Amino acid sequence: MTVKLKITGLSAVIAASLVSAGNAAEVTGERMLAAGTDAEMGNWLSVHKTYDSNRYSSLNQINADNVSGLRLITAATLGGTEPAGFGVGSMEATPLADDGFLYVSDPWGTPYKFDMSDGKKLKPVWICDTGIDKDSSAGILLANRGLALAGNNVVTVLNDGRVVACDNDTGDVVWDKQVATDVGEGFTNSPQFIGDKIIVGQSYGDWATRGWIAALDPDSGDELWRFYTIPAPGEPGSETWLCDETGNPDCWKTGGGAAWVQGSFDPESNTLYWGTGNPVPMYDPEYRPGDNLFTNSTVALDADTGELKWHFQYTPGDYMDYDEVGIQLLMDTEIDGDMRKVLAHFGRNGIFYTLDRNSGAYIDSGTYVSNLNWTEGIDPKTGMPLEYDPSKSLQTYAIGAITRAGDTATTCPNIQGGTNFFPTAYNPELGIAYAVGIEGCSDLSVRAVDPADVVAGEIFIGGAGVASGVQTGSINAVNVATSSEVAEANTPFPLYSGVLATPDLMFTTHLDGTVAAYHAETLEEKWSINVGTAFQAPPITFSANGKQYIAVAGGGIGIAGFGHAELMNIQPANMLWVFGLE
Amino acid sequence: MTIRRAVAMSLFFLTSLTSHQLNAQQAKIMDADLERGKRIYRSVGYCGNCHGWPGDGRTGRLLQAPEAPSLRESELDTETLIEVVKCGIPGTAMPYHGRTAYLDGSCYGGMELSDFEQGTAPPLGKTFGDSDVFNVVAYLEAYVIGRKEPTIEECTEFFGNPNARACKRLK
Repeated sequence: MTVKLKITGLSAVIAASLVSAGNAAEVTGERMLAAGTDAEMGNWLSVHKTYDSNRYSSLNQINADNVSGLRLITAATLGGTEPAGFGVGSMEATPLADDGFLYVSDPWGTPYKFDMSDGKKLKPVWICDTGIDKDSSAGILLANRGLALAGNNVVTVLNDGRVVACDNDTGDVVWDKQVATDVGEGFTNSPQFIGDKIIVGQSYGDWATRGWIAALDPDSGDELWRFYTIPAPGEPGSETWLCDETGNPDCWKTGGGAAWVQGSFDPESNTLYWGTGNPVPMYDPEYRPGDNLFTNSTVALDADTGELKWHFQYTPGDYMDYDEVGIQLLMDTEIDGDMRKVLAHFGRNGIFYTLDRNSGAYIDSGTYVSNLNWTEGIDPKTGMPLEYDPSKSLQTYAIGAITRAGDTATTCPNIQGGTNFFPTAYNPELGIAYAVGIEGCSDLSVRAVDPADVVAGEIFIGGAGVASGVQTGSINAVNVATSSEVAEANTPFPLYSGVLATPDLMFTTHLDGTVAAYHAETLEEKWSINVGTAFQAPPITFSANGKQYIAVAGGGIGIAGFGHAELMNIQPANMLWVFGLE
Repeated sequence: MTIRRAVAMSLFFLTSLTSHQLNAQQAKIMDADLERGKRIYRSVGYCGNCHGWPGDGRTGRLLQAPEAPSLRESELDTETLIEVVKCGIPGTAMPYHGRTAYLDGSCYGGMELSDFEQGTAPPLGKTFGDSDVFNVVAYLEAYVIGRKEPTIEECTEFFGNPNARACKRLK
């Protein structure tokens, strides 16, 4: 009797702990399709919240009338401050929220689960041990931009090229696949769950690799298809790699085009939209003459096969590091009196674009940064920069060419943007898209490289792009129907995080540790608090126990200090912050 | 500022030390902590982000880093190295690392940041104190300057790890 009672008691404790660690429901394709509806209003199920990447929540308990009462509710410490070769990694992950549970990854990709279902306190549930080797010599950009909830798994992508699924209840590893296998390949982004597949993108293009996007089986991690962003000889687009002109017919093999930010998905047309990175080596176009498809592009892929439906290349034959991995916003909206299925994109090159997302046809564009000099403008018919000449193997934009002969140039915006990987957002009620980014310029120069300089796993850039003068920041609100800016707010430091849109507010976070809310139409600041961790990640909103909260991850300054004395010595302390009303 | 003017300005700055400074600094170099200097190079100043971990200006550089010269081929003397590490090189991307640079009168004949034309002051890097300026210069002189191509032994010793990812290419 005594024994039985003890076992019963132990079972009760175990059962209770399982209940507290469990979730209401697995994340299915059906739930993902409904991620923007009232049924999932309180959750943030994927990094961009919804397939259209709008990062818009209709939760409105926190609104322009009461946001001034927002305060810190709880915070949790995270790990992952072990440095790699270039220092401590950046905290760039978007948290996820499901039924009061929060999920976030640290710069090494380690997933964490917290229970905040009582609306009061972040209680650690588990940390999934991926077995990542935190090699302090690794010459990698150390970052991870978030997790995927897929079925009962929490999936992470790692800088060593593995994709790992952890059990949502226990944090135990369910499967572990070495998806990226070539030296130098790996992941810094987040996996994208689309119901029957997980989409991943090879992120380390600048390490003399070839970019690709792949689909995995969510139950096993087995690879289903792969699309290379750099075509092999004979494949469509390969004619834009004029490698033979250089005597190095293999220049495409190290062509870059990394897919280092999660894309969008249109379930109606079963199309994936991902952005691609710069050609490599980025500053020595004479190494890789041609337009270099499909770098600096949006690529539209059939989600079942990975076949290319269309592409749009923003800056052909780039030498300014204007890769376009940034967010692909999808919306149905009226332009010039016609309802259009639109893909909107804040270019790293400082220009806001709208495309027809069914065809890739250019619709319109407008400059959103304060200082842009690399082009005189965009051709209103083609969407190409006015200087673009398809007959030339080397493009010369308005700033002039940079050459092995010694020609240098100063390009604006900064080589990092404009906006960059910093997630953008779209308020469908107002028709306004938001972005945050850098205001400044970069000095460009070439250091000629040749095939003998390619070292597997080493950065291969062929020159330098150095910040020219003081770099500041801006918050931008753009009317999607007209591609015109409706509001702008300037900031003393670059913004490196991303945004969240709610019905009448826009939230962002700053490098100096400030979290702030702005009026959705005027960008007038409505609330802010400084908590001291540098912010390189965007906030989300969710509800728990009937109340709305704002959550965001913060950490060290990494490489984003831009020489500002106030930023340079911010120390790494990775944290998850949650704010709410009194 | 043109490149030519920047170079000329840099050469001027690099020859502006006083003999009084030299003697004091030489004495401190003699007492420098080489292990500490290595730590400053590797994980405080993150010198390798621009110069590469072996200081060759090439190997293991950070993506966004400016082009940096090979320290292994440097012909700068001790005093100049100290001033460059502490005060940066005006007109170039070499940042100043001294915690008291341009505040204590020790940079380029007592210059302050406000003395520079806009855009010509060296950028701010990761900062450390004068003793660590001496330590890192001593480390450079002992383990970097004058060395030829980096070796696997040098790499594994630098990272303190026989399996360091950065060293695999040297195997």
